[in-house]
Amino acid sequence: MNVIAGFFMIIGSLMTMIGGIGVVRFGDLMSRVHAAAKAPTLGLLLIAIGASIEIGSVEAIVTLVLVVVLQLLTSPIATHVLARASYGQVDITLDGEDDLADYYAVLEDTERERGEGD
Amino acid sequence: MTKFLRLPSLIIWLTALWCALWVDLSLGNVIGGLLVAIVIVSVAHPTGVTGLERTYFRPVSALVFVVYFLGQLVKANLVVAWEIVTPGLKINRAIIAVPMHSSSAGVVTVVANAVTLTPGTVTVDVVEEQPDAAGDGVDESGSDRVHRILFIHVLHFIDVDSVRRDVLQLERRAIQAFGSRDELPPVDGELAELGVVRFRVAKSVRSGRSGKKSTIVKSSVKKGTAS
Amino acid sequence: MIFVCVVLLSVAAASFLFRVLRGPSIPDRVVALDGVLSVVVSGIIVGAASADSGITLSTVLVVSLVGFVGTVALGRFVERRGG
Repeated sequence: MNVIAGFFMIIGSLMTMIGGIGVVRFGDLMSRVHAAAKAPTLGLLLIAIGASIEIGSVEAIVTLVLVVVLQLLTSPIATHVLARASYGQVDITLDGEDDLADYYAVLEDTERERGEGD
Repeated sequence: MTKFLRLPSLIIWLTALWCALWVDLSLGNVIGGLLVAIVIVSVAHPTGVTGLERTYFRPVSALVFVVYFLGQLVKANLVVAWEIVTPGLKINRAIIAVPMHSSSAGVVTVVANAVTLTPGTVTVDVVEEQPDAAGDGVDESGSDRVHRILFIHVLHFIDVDSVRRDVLQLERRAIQAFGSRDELPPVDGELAELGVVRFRVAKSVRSGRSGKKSTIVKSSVKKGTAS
Repeated sequence: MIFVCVVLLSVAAASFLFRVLRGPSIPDRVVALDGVLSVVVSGIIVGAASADSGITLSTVLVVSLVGFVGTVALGRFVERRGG
């Protein structure tokens, strides 16, 4: 097997495994989202590079390029939908500021004022 | 001229995608793809779902964006991997609001996606600014430009400025590649305030359309930021 | 070489499955399932590389599309029903 291709594939699998370990290790939901959204995507990219070097046919390369572009476009969207949906419902511990809570508080206040003004 | 080219280029792009999916460049396949693309576009375009207004495509800038983004992606994952593997978890989490300067939905989507895949940041919410902020029934925006705010969850939070700097650099390259050029001066202005001055400035700035011309054009040093 | 890749990917899949079983709330499980999806896609690509044929790669497109739609659907479910 091609050495360079094997190198890419092993590094890619390593990145995916590190993503898996991160999902186990992190303590709260949003940190797990960080680990699960980024590491497997990069792992997939590296494995695809390795496989395209190894197989080398036009069919494989075109399909792999499509797969990588698709995954790069859709994985953040799925992550974002999940993060937004679980924001108000799961306990997300933060060590710093929380602008989104402020924004929602302001939104609630304006709506309440508008409702009282009728 | 660009307006006329949008629909045909969408059809060409869909045909190319069809040919790539079948990995087959024979004439029959191309014609079949063309037919499918025309059917799809004619069904979808009147409903307005294709969202073609205010989107551009500059190939060289798009390539620059992709290369920059891939570099950030690799860097992000190395940072996260290092964080996972070393025993002590030193994380400082926060959610920061970053207002976007572009009014095109496509650019904001691209930036939100890129932010999710870059060092230590995940987009949590994208909200549109309410045009009726004062609550007295008067529409203050006066135009059809909607401005959006990104809310970003950060893993290693140092200060608000560094987060804004990273996101705005992404946004600047995204506007350069996919958006209309006259939205660049506000982004450049805010970047200059945050300490990043670019070597090559936007053409609209150089031609004197914005008032910040002298301060940005005269400086020729790009102060790098370590993020 | 392929053996090492398969072992690493299996460890990754096992850790994601651990989080699916253990995660205290539904979004944790959905996130872990998204990771399992990426591992499955990577596994199919590794299999195609080991068999040296590009024909099986069409399944990867379908898997990632269906997985994406599934994750978004679960996200909407969480939004409506609560974590």
